[in-house]
Amino acid sequence: MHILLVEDDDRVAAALRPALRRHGMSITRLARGKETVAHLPGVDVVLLDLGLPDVDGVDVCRDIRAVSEVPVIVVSARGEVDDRILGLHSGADDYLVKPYDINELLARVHAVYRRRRVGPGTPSGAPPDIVELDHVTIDLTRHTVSVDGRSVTLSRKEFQVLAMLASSGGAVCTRNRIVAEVWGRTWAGANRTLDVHIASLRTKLGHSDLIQTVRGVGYRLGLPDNGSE
Amino acid sequence: MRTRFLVVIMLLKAALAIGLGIPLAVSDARASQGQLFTNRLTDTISFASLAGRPLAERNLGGLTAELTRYDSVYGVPVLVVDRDKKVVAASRQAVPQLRESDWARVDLALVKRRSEPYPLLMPWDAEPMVLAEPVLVDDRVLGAIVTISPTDALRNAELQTWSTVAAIGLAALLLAALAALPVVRWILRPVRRLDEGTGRVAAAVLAGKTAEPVADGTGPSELRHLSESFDRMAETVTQAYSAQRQFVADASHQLRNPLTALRLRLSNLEDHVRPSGAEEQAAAHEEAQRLTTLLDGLLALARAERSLPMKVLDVDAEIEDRVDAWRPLAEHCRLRLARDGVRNLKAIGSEGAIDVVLDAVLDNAIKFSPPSGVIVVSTSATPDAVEIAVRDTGPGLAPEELERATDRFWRSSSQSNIDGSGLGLAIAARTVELSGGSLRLERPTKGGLRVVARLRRAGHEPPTVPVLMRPPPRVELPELQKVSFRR
Repeated sequence: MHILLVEDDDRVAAALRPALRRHGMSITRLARGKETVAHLPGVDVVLLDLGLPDVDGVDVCRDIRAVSEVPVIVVSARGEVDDRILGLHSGADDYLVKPYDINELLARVHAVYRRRRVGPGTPSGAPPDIVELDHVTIDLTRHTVSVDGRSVTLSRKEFQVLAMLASSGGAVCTRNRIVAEVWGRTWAGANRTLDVHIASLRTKLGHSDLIQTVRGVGYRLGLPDNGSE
Repeated sequence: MRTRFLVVIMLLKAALAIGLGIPLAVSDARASQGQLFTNRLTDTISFASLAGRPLAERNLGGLTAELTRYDSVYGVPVLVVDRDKKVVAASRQAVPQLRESDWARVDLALVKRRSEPYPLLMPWDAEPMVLAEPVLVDDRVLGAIVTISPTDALRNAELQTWSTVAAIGLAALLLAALAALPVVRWILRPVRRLDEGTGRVAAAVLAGKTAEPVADGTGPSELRHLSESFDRMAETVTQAYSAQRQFVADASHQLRNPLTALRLRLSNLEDHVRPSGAEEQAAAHEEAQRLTTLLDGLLALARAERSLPMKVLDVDAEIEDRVDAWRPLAEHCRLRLARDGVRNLKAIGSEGAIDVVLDAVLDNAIKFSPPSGVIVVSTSATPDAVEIAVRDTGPGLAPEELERATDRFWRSSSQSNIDGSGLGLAIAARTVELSGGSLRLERPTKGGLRVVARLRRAGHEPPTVPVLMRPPPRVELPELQKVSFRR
């Protein structure tokens, strides 16, 4: 996977380079925003810093969108809601606030890469209606869950968390994304509340390894085919 | 201040009027009295010289006729007394009674002493002016002539003069007041503008805007300088305040790049750390995470310190939203989260103010309360305020800690190792204050901690515009509904 890193801070770039290389990615790094578009051919994912010295990162993002469908993740020190909305409106696929955990960055890179490759609108991209894992059956349309054929009662939020994990098909869902999508906002106790819901889900489903914790990042469903990563 | 200023000026003017008017009136009275005294003295002396022979010869017929004529012309009774102070002739039948002090004058005349001038007669002194002159024959005193002059006319004239002087004084005072009013206004204009300016500056500083200058180049030069200094000070304060806020925001942004690099480098060590060092590496990760939490808190504080437009908040909905969000965590910690108090309240505050406060306070309450405790969110109202109180059954705070708990980075000494940035209550307090309310901490008698956020109550504030001038609600409501449907 080839990553185009547009980042003006040398030390962040230097730290990121071995981290990505270690996970099998190659990097082209640009310290300025101007020539970004010229470097797009052959790039799989763009990591774009918004605070660039020459042009506003938001404009760079628009320029990329004008010529390419390559996935763009905005990585910025500006974490306010308005900044996020602006970033996403300018065509970014995801928005990550510094400082981030390398695992979270990798999870998001894989997520946007997969989404783009599958492409929107293709039948295989739509999440399945019913997910079956070991003895657990999750019906995403009827909002029911059963373990060994017996139905289990979940609270609305618990089901939403489980459904989100199930629809991601084994990919990591970061804590921030789960909280943002299930609760609609984040707050001081959000992470702990999510942990409570996960613990309760594990108890109710009776399979503690079904929902796996990815330390410092989030959770994923322990599907049989992704235990290798 | 204007009234006082005016009173002082008027007092000075009044003193001036009195100081000039009274001597004028008195000297005028003294002059007319002196005139009367001299005239009457001349008459008395001339009678005394006329009376010498008739008194010596005891033939007073002619003299009496003379006196009667004089009395009928001038209205001044005249008496002739002999050396034994017996009235031997009078200008009228009913002889006026003389008082003690008058007889004393007669005594003086009988020992050949001249009449002394009278002290100044006041308009309210009703007594007549009595003059006694000795009747001398060959340097021997045979008796005395006594004239009893009524002073009514004199005193009336005196009164008239005095009234005129007083009237002129009052008129001058009135004129002075009319002239002083614009002057006082001119002097006090900078003071008034300073007074209005302070309020504006306070608001502008909070909003991070530049305050409208107070100095407008009018007023006395000292106050003009004061206004200019005030403007400079306001500008400095505004700049300092926004610089501080900007610094906090900038610093927490600028620290993000090094922190990102640090966390990446720590992760890069992953496969190069010997198992014995793995624990240290995990701890280093946690420290980096803690620093991140702190930066987020600082940024949230900088955000809380800028003022946002006020709006009407639905207290019930906001509380319900937050209580629902925190309930799973509370129940997991075996704490009961309850709602109590008055419903259907509306408060005034910035958007999300109640959220920010409840998040900070409930976070603490859940963190510090031991299992099987109760956290109660209750609401109460006074005519102009809404109070949202959160009471927990945790260890509470010492009395001396209550004041300091809303300071930035403050942590109770007994709880300094529990996770958190120490900014939650500071952010909550600043948010409530910028919404025009206040946050206070209390120690309930049965233990625990009670945090009370007091906000202005909506719909109960005294109207700033007279009610009649507002558009009637019937016109307003359909408009609002249309807009909200369209969106």
